[in-house]
Amino acid sequence: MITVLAVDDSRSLRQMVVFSLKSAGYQVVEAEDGVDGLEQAQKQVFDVVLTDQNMPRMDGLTLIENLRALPAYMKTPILMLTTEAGDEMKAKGRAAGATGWLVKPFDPERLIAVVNKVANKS
Amino acid sequence: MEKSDQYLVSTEMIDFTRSIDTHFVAAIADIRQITLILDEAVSKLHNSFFLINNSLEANRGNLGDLDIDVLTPSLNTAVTALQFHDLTSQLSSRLVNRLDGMSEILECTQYLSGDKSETLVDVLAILNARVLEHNDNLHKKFNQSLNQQHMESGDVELF
Repeated sequence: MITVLAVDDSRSLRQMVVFSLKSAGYQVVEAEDGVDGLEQAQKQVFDVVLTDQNMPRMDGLTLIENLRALPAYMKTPILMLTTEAGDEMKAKGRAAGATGWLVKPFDPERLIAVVNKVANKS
Repeated sequence: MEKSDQYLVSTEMIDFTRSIDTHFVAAIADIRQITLILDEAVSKLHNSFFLINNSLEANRGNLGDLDIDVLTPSLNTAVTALQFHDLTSQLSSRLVNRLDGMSEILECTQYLSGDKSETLVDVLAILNARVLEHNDNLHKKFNQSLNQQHMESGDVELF
C-alpha cells in the first residue's frame, strides 16, 4: 500500500486530504507543520509527501530542503499543496526539490491522479 | 504664516488617533468572532459530511436508486468546497495582523511630547518615521500571497 505523509497546519484541510486519498486506497499519516512532518518522516519512510507552504514553526520549502538532505527522501515525490500560486514561489519550490505544485483548493480526483502519477513514476 | 500657527496641540493628535484606534480594535474583535463562529460551523459541517459518507459506504448496495457512484461527484464537490475554511482562515488571520499593525502605527503618538514647542513639521517627522518602520514590519509579515477568487480547484504543475 502506498503511504502518504500529509503536512498542513489546517486540520480541516488535512481531513479533506485524508478523506480523498484513503478513498483511493492510500495510507495517510498527518502532520500539523514542518517540524512535525520532519519528525514523522524520520519515524517512517513514506512513498509520497504532500505539504503546505505557510505553516508555523517550519514552512513547506524548509521541510522539503530538510527532507532532501535525508538519504531516504532524496528521490521521494514531494508535492506542494498550497494557496500560493505565484511563479516566484513555484521556482523556489522547484529549487528546494519539490516534484510538483498544486494550488488549493484541490479537487479529490485530480489530487488522486497526481499522487498516483508521481508514486508510480518513483 | 506665523510660527505660532504651526504649533500642533499634541494632545489633540493623541485624542484623534485613539478615536481611530477604537475602530481598529472593534474590527479585530469582530473578525475574531467571525473566526470562532466559522470554526464551529466548519467542524459541524465536517462531522456531518463524514457521518453521511460513512452511512453511504456502510449501506452501499442497499441504496436502490441512490447509488453511491451517482453521489461521488457531489461528494468531490463538497470536499473542494469545504476547503473554503483553510482559505478564509488565512485571509482573516492576515486581516487581523494588518489591523494590528495599523493599530500599532497609531500608538506612535506616544512619542509625541505634548510640548507646545513641537511644531507640525516635528510631529509629522516623528509619525512618518514610525509609519515607515511599521510598514517594513507589515511587508515582512505578508510575503505570502493568497489570490484565490473562487472555489474551483487550483492549477496543478509537475516539475
